[in-house]
Amino acid sequence: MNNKKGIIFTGALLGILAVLLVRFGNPPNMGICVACFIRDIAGAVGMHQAAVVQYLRPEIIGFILGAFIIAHGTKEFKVTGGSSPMIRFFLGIFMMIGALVFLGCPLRMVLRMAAGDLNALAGLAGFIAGVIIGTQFIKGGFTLGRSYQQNRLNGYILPTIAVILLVFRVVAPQFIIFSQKGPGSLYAPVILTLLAGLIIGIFAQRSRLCMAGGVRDLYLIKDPHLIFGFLSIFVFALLFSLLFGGFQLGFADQPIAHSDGLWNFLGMLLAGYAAVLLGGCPLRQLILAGEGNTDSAITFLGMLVGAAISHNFALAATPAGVGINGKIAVIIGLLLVSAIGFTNILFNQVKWQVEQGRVVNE
Amino acid sequence: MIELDFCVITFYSTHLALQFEKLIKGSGLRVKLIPVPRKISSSCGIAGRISPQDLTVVRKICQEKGLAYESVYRIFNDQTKQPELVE
Repeated sequence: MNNKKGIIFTGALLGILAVLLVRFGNPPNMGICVACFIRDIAGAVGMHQAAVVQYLRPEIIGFILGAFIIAHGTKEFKVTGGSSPMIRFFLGIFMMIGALVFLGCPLRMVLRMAAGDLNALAGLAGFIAGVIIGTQFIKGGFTLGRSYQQNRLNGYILPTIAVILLVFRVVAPQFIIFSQKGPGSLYAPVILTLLAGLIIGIFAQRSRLCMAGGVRDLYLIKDPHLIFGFLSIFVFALLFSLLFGGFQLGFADQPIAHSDGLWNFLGMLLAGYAAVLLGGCPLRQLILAGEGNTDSAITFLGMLVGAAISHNFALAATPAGVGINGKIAVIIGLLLVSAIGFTNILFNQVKWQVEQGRVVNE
Repeated sequence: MIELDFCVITFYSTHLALQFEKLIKGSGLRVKLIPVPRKISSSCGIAGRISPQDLTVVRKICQEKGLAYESVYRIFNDQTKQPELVE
């Protein structure tokens, strides 16, 4: 089926481009990381002051604009919103906090595995567990509610911000901060990263590639379609890592990673849990935001704020490990996301009973 | 099994799609949950797949039980034909 070729092709493209971006200067095992790169952007605009992770990543801009452009070309740009924006904002924050305790979004998790970083396996186990837990809530009646068509202007705001950020990257005004050392100081040439972002944005929009969706569909409806994208990224990133010498098998001394298995597991569990309740991983949120979904645009803002909180409150892990603040934050995150899940179901049941005329709305 | 034309019913939430599956299966009809076909939408939800013959009954069941769906499409076995929006 054409469909299947599309998702495998997109995964292959992503895996290959990620390895090449490292080759051309991006941080090791971080050719693409949606969480890390949003975090770098938060730093670049001064939302946090972690000196080693501040850079305006054109990849993120490319994802949003790539999806925006192709959605216009295929008449799929539809401006919708109103599906629990506040809840999405907070789930976005926690998705980011979890990812930064693991040190990577689900996409980087796959790239880390493909580069031989065995710590990412604990992350994968956590991610799958998180998606399965979140799916139980969906089965039990969790829903963020339907979205509605909105005034078209709403859909143009985030793409416009993306263009402004791109201008800032190129012009480099004084108020934009660029790391002088650490991962934030490692980057491939702007034009390459922007192009890679645009290409991935376009193909991800066409194929609907999503890490969380892959695990969810496989578990919930036994449909392997999206997981093929996931596997394709892994296979092609692995091949290219072996080819270009970036492959290094083991737990110790992996680039921009720590070896605390429990917190790799729990960090990714929180990220997967929040992602499935949101209906998509960080990459997917950017693509949806590009095609006019303002709920996903708000999730992006949540992730941006989550990144700032992570570094301002010292929640994010470092290669040395996870600090006490990060551990407490993950536990609070798991409790709060669960509380959101349970209360959402409760309120949905009440609403349903009112609609059925079984109880009187007070 | 020979692939025939089929109907796809889309929902506003994954949970409703799951409820739909339970309801239709409970009525003894055949239903399969599938990812929303790419041709229909760029969104990534879950949809119900049913046989076109069952559509009238399925509609009636949904109405009786107050289960709201978003749209119904007919997907043709002939890949060159575009999906048709039924309602």
